[in-house]
Amino acid sequence: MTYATFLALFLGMPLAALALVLRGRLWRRRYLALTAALMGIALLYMAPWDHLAAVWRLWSWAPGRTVGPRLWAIPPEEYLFCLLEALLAATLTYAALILFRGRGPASGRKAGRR
Amino acid sequence: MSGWPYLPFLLIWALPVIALQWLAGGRYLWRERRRWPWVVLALGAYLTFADAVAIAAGIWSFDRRRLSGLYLANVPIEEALFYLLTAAMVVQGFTIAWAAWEDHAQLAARWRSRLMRVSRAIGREPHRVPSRHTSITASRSADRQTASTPDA
Repeated sequence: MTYATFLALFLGMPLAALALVLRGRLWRRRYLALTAALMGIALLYMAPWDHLAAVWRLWSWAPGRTVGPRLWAIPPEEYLFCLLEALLAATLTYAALILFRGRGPASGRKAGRR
Repeated sequence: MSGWPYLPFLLIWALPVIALQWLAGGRYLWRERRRWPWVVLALGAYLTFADAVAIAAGIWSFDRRRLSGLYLANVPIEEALFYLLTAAMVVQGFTIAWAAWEDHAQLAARWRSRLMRVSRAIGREPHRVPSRHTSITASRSADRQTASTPDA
């Protein structure tokens, strides 16, 4: 199994399943903006940390399993892993916050104040 | 420089973010506490399982000298903790931002009233054309139908 195959299987499939469950609710401005922001922040925060670990040889990737060229000592699949993991986490949280509720994302307390 | 062991390297990177999230948005995390922790646990567990597969397939490996020596099957305990903490960072971040976005209208009104109170206390009025400002804020709060009053 290559790193890319691993990502398609273990991250691609849950994401596809979530997209099926959520469907139209994914095309909402608030969800898209928050998810994009978190994915960007995750990537920026992870990259230097992962780079240091790679340089220290704290962990390493088998050369035959990754695409090849390293961007700043990190294989491109690792960046993709970070983005897909953040996407999965954000989308799962979104699902948890909006599903199984009587009305919209507002919490019960807010409605009570009115 | 040979570098740090995995565990302190992970904690010094992840814990400040988690702490900051609780400091800045703890009230939202607490409000939604029956939902988001399950996402963290489920995602952390799932990714640890996926990691076991990747390690078994030989996609990546670790310098054993820098590990604690504790494993969950073939997964170093630090990896499991890594997945839990990274999931927590994103899940908490999303939850706080989501809940805060909802509250934004009320927060903005509250900060506006605080600013007015401070200006009055200092003895200075904010530089505005009074009638135009009042009509804009009046129509804006009517549109939003916020429940908060300036004294909230």
